[in-house]
Amino acid sequence: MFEMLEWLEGTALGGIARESLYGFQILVAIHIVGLMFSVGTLLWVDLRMLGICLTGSRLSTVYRALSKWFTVGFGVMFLSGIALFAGFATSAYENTYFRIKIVVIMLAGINAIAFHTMVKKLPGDMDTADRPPVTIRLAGFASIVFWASVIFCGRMISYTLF
Amino acid sequence: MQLFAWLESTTLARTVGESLSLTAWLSAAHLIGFTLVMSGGLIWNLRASGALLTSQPTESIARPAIRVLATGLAISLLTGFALFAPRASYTALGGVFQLKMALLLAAASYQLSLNRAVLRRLDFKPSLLHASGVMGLLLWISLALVACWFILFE
Repeated sequence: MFEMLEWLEGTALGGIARESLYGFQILVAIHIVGLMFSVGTLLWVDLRMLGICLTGSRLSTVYRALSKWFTVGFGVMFLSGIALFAGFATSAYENTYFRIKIVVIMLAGINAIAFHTMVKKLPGDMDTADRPPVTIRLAGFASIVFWASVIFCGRMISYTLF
Repeated sequence: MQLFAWLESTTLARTVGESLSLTAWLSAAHLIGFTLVMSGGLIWNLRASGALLTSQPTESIARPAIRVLATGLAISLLTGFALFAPRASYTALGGVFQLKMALLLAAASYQLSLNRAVLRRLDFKPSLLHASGVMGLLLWISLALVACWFILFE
C-alpha cells in the first residue's frame, strides 16, 4: 500500500500539487469552490427531507432540480481532491483526520445512493408530505451531519498534515 | 492601530494565538459557517436567475435562504473575529483581507436589499430579477475565491 502511495506522489499530478509554484493553492481553491456548490446545494435537499423548508414542492422535484448542481460540485471536489491527495499521499494516509474524512465520505455516499434509489419509488403522499416519514428525515439529518464532519475533518487536515 | 494592538493583548487573542488546536477548531467552524453563507446565497440567486426551482415563488426560497445565510454569517463572524484577534495588526493591513471584508459587506448588503424588495412584493420584471440573481451569484462566488486566496496566500 505504502509503495503505491509513494508511486502516486512521484507522478506528474503529485508533482503539480506538491512542487509547482501555485499548483497547491489553485487545487485547494477549486476544491473549496466545489465544496460550496456541492454541499451548499445538497443542504436544501436535506432541509426538504427534514420538512423544514421548500415544502411547497415535491421532494423529488427539489431533488431533481438541485441534483445537477451538487453532482457537478461533487465531481469538481472529487477530482481536485484526488490531485491534492496525489501530492501528499503518504502523509495523508497516516493522518487520523484524513482517515475519518474518507470513512465519513463513504457513509455519506451510501446514504445518498440509498436515498437516490428510494426517491424514484416514493409514493405520492410521501413525495408531497410537508413532513416526510421518519426514515427520510433521518437520512436528511444524517447527510447534514456527515457533510459537516467532512468539512470539519478537511480543515483539520490542513493543520495536522504539514 | 491602537485598537488592533489592544485586541491582540486581550485574553481571547492570547488564548487563540497560543493554541494551534483551538485555531484549527475555529478555522473548521469558520469554514462550516461560510458554507452555510454560500448555500443561502447560491440558492437565492440561482432561483432568482431562473436556473432552478422556477415553479416555486421567489419569496418561498428567499425566506429560508436568508435564514441559512444569516446563521452562517453569525458563525463566520464569531469564529472569524476570534481568528483575527491574535494577529489583528498584521491581518488588517493586508490587501486581500480588506478586499475579502469589502466583498462580504457588498454581497451581504446587496442580498439583504434584494431580499427586502422581493418580500415586499415590489414589482420585478423577470429580466431584472434574473439580472439581480446573476449579480448576486457573481458577488458570492467572488467572495469565495478571495476567501480562498486569503487562506492560502496570507
